[in-house]
Amino acid sequence: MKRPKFFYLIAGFFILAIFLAGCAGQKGNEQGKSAGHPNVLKANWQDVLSQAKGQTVNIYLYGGSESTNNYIDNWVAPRLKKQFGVQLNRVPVNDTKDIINKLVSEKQAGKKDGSIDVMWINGENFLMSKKNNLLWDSFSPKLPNVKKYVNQNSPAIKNDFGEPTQGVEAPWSQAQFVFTYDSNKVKHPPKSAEALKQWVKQHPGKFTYPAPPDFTGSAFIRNMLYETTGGYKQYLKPLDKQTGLDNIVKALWNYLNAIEPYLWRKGETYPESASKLDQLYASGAVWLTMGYDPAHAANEVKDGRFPKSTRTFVLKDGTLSNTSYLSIPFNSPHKAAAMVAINFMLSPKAQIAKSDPENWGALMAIDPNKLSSKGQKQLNAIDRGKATLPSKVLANHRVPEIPAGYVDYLEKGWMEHVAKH
Amino acid sequence: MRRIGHFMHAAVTIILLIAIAIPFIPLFFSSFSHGWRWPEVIPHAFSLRAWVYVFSGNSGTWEAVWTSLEIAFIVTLINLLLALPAANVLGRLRFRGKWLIEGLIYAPIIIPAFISVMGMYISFIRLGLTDSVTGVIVAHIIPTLPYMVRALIVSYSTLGFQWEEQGQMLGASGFQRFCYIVMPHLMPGIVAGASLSILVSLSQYLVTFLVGGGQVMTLPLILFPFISGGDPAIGSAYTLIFAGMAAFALFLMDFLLKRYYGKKVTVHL
Amino acid sequence: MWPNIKPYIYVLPTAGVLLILFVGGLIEGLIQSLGYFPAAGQYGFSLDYYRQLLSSSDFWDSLILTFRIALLSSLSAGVLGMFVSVCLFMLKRPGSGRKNQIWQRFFQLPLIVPHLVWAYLMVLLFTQSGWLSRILASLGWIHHINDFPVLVNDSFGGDIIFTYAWKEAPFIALMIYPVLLRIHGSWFEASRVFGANRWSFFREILLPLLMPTWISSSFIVFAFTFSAFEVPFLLGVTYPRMLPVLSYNLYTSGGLEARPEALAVNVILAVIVSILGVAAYRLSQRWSMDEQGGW
Repeated sequence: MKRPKFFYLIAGFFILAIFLAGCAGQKGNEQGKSAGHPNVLKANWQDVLSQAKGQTVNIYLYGGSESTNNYIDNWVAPRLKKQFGVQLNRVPVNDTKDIINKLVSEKQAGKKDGSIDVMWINGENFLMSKKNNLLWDSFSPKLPNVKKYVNQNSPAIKNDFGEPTQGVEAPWSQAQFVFTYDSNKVKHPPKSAEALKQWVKQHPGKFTYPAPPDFTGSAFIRNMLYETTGGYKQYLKPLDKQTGLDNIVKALWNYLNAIEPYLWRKGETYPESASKLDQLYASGAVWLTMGYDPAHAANEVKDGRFPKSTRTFVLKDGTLSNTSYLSIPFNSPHKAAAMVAINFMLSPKAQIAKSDPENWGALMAIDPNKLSSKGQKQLNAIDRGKATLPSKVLANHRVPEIPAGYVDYLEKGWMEHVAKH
Repeated sequence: MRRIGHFMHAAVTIILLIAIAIPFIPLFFSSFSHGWRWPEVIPHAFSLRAWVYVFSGNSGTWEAVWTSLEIAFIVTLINLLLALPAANVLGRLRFRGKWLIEGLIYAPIIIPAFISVMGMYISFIRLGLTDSVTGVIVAHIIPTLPYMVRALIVSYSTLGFQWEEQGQMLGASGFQRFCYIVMPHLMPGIVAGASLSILVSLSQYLVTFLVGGGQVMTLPLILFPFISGGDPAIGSAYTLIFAGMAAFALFLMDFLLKRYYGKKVTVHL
Repeated sequence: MWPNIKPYIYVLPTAGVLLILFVGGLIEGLIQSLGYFPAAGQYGFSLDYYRQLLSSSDFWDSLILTFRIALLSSLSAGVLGMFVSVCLFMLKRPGSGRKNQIWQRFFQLPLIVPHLVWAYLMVLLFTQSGWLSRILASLGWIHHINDFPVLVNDSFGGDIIFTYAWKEAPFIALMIYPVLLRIHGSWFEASRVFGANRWSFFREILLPLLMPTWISSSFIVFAFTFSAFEVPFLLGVTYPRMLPVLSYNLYTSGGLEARPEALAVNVILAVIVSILGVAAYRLSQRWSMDEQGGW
């Protein structure tokens, strides 16, 4: 009987060890409350710069786009290093949600020295970060370039999907929903929901949209909500303060169901992502596609996937636009360097370079009107490709995003009223 | 009859060849393609864009390959050291509670490691194991160690005791017996176990991602955003590199072990 | 006394590491799934999360999907693997050992290729705009991209099944090939004398011999496909999701509230595959007492 006893002893010992380790770890982190760096925010900019020198900034962002990666790696990083002595290390992620999740766990475990210094977020992820107190502090108004070049009063900047940013994130980029068409096949692109309805009836099978909750498909139905229910203004208040919403939104479901029989495959199925829809468009199966990036079509033409006759258009009453932001998490170990990096990325040079399709081609978040005349000239000289609309046209046809709470409501509603219909 | 056999053999071989080789063709095309539209079977234009990106200094490809291999080899070495004594007794002795140990060792083969890692994630953070290569190595031990033990058990069970006893009688020390008798006999098992251990470690996505927190970039982590809806050409290039890296790692390990021990075996046995 | 504890000392490193890392993780997960979650300020134990889970249709849809995909994957991998190895065995010709070795290496290729790579190969081959569809179109068999059936990212899970069948068939073949090698060539000659053809030789002699190893290795494939994450994460649809992906999505949905639920999914997953694993082990034991045992 000696052997089994010995064996169980060992097993018991290890299980005990696990619990002890767990408990010890727990105690260890009760101590030492927020060791934040409030002094960084109070310091003058020169001090921030000197603190930042020699630090490495880990920037976490979506890693599946070659142009974004190239811009960060080959344009921003070397200049930041040379001018400010700050090393920028790009960390690619598959989904921004993963970053938030990591921070939630670290917050929970009381980890004070994290690894994320800067992250690229907006919308739902911002809401989630705010709810869970994952963001550092109101740093954005302290940045020289924000003070100088950002229109901080614009509602599109002040609110992130309806949620006040309160300076805990700094605007970095903008995106706008555009429709893409082949000018050889479509002479008069439909620029309103009503026109689109007529168009699909005349061209059955040549239009469809990605099934929500795909990001692009979801944006399409939001845009159609504005179109069919009389504009965006009524949705500015949060979802829980809205009354009779089900009734208002009925118009949208009716519209989508009315066009369904004329969609690709008679609406029996929808492409499940924007890239699938793009493939259908590239192969000529449908004649229109859409995306939340005004320069996307031009890039696809450049890479040979879309036909050369591809063009984009926006709706008469405007298409959705959103701003995306850079933010600093609560446990960033290099907050000064993170501020320097973000400030640099908001400089006119960096923003103009970002809007050049040669580097990336994303819209600026700083106000073009605040640029020097030289900067404005540079901006106008950028060749965006024939498929991209001029900035002015885009800017004049822009409506804000709906508060984040609605997004889920609409996606579920689409499933209920359109997909299962 | 004989000719039919011949024919069947050729047919089966060709079918298998096709089944294994054909999926790689579109991958190859895709990585070199410049706008590959349906219904072109072969892209109408080729470009090195994806490969240029993948090999450009800033994309982090080489660092990721190096990190992946480093982790895989260290994990395998640790596994080998842990598994040798265990396999020694599990392969050759009967003792009480053995089935329990065997169950414990085989369980991680079918219960995926992410279940354990998610469970103890908070503890990992508290112990400072997240965001570090050390942590990832520790986490990779869970799914890989069982394969190593398993492979070594098979080798040990065919070894028996008589060879070592003979060596002892001839005056060989414990260390000599291990080097010249046990090791050569275990070599096929070590190669098999190490191959599996390396492969499984290289393929980890979720576990590496959770524990590494973006600070430990292995190839699957860089690859994933590209193949799940990102740029298909770059995704294809990375996928080819990933497959190549796995094959290379196995070849290297096989070569090194056999090279090193091959000599000794011929001299001493 | 000393020799008696020798085995335990020897297994201690391996068993200890696995106890702490593997079992420790399972236990911590189990405790949290029961609602004991100090980090989120929850100290009570309850079965609420399991109740919540078992009453949600998401969970049941996922479970059914996971079962179906795992079953079809392991069945197709099993049949394919058995077919390949029996074919190779029956058609094996004596001699040219070196050449045989090279061939064997080649057929092990799918084993070497990581799952993610294999899954992406399936995407490129079988999407509507994939290579197969292109080939059919250039042959004139289909005229429209939409004529090609939706095989990738479909709710049936066809692509996941394809991936696993392709990837795991060599594994099954590898498992049963050693058993086949022990069958002497002369058996076939002998059976021919008694008038057996290839088919009856297979049915009467090979099949019963292979059955234990085949069943236990198919069970392992089943358990593996049931609980693997990467492939369904890449290939799956948004709804319903396979259990590991459901767990991951719950885990990363952002709020702490959903975490215990994710861990409850994990616990259920672990219990199911453990039962499968024990079944596989029992089967391989009962069928072949003196077999070296397939794995």
